Amino acid sequence: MSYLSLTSLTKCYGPTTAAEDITLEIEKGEFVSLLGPSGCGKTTTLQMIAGFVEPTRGRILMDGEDITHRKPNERGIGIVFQSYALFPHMTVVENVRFGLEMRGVPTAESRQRVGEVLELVHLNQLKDRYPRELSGGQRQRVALARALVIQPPLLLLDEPLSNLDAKLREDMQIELRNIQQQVGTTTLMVTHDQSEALSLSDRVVVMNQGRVVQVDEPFNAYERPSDAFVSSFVGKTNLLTGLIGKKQGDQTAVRLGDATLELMLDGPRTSNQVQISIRPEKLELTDCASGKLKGRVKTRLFLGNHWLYQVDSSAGELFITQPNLGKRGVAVGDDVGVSWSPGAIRLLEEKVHG
Amino acid sequence: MAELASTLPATPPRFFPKSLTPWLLSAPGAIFFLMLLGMPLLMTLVLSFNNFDYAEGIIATFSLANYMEVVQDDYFHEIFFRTYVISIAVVVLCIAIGVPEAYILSRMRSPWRSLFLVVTLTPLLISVVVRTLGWVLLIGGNGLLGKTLEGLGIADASAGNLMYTHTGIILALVHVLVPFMVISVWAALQKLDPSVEHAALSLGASHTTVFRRVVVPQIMPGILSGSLIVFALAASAFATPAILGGRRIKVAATAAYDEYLNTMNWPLGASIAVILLIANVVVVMSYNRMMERRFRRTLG
Repeated sequence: MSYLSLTSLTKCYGPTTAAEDITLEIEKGEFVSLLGPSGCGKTTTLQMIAGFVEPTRGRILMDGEDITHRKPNERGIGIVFQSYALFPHMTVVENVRFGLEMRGVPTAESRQRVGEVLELVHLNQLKDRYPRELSGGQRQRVALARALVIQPPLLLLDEPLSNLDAKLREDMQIELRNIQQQVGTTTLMVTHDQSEALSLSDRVVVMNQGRVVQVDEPFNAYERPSDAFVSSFVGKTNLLTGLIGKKQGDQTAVRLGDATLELMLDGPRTSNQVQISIRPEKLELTDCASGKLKGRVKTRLFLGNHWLYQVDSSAGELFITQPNLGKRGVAVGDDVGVSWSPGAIRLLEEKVHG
Repeated sequence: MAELASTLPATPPRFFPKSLTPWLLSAPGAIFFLMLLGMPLLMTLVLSFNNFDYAEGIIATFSLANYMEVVQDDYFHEIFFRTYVISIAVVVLCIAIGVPEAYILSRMRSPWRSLFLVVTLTPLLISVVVRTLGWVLLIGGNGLLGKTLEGLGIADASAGNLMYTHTGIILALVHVLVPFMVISVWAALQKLDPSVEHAALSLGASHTTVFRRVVVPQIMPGILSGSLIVFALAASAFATPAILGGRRIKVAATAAYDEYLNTMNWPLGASIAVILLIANVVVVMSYNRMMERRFRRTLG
């Protein structure tokens, strides 16, 4: 029996369905991310768990109890909002203490718990400041402390890092992960930032158009995306179309531009085309003769630790990243070959129409 | 070429130095303002230092006799005291009615919200005199309130007669001024982040606690500025106290009016008006100072 379980959770607003048939099991202590573009239903799902949105259908079980129709102030879930939603008229300490006051925790115990949680987020120095006197990262940590101090059975994070600048976001990612592992609270995060989801979570739930598309560990979601949407949303990828040719044994010949690949095709295919995904970092630039595909460099961007090339090839336009090893690589207009190791190719499942 | 250039019109000559331009541009408005507001105020101030004699009329001297009279006479003490008691009562009632009203309005769904906001504000489109005369029909000697009380057998018809009472004046002033409180609180509510209320709920607060501990403190600046507007308008109100209070219950504004038009003692009327103005300005300014100090750190 998992700790939090969503069963066929659905929310309709009139004729539009914001979230459809969301079924998900989360174990105690797990860090799970709902990842998807805006409007994919991830925030609606979070709000249904928090109790701010009434589900049209489906059930939410937490620790074996049905909380589907329980009021938000009786669920005891800790939430960190995108805008932090701190109480502007209260100091840091007062903000953090609010939840304990509502629970009637005695003063001495409350003082100790507030002190401990402020220690955890490194805010003891600033405890008498008001929110508007704090930086974005500090506000973020107050919001986290306020949600954690009530020792919630479940912590919901709604785009927690999206209002921070890039450098701070990276630091906070590490800190958030450390705190979550230290406290061990079951955590569900909503985000549209794939790198955030991959780096923080134990499992990623990729959503699109109100539905769950793939639930997997971050590494698997990246390396073995279930369809074209996941492969392009989780990380960057080159989506190419290959033509299926003759079958020899368990290998099938697939034509990709001027290259022919020998691939294992699982199951029967209805069309003679197959979709192939190759990550830009798994492609390699070689000289014209030795590459599997021939192409010409169209654009080259220098990004510090790596180069990004856009190459016109016989199989279509390819994005290729190469690590910066201290040498200037090929230039725009050069003819190049493109190569890859056999494991780099990922065949995507056919879209089931109907 | 030289000839061609010379035929081009030269920059038109400047009649005024450039630095004067903003002053000149704002001059029409400034003159208008000074003529219509500044001058009468100044003349009232001058008048308040003059003397008055029933036989000779206004005597152009400079003395503080009128001010001494107002400051020392119990009759005027009572009038000023009454003015401020009524104003404070009106402010308190406007807060009690206007704040929940604005909160409920802001929580209404889309078509109803704007509809009810308009309903709340339409009284402002009707003249204060007309609205006050409406109150006379309701609470007058033979008014609706008295008739209803009598008809229900609760009390005598005379119990419904609130003419020439403090209650009547306060009631009518609250009706006239509550929209100002609603507008002011409404504006403050618009600035609230709804997720702050959600945060308080998720931490286990009930809806009433959320309102009391989270919403009200945040809209305090709106409540306070609404109170200022209501207080200033109530303290200087003329039409409502004049119609519902008449000669029997005088406030500062109606007292000044009576000195001008009945006793013909213009200098005394002027000094009452000046004292009322100064008292209001002092109250409003110190209140504002206090507010700014209180909210600078938290709400900006």
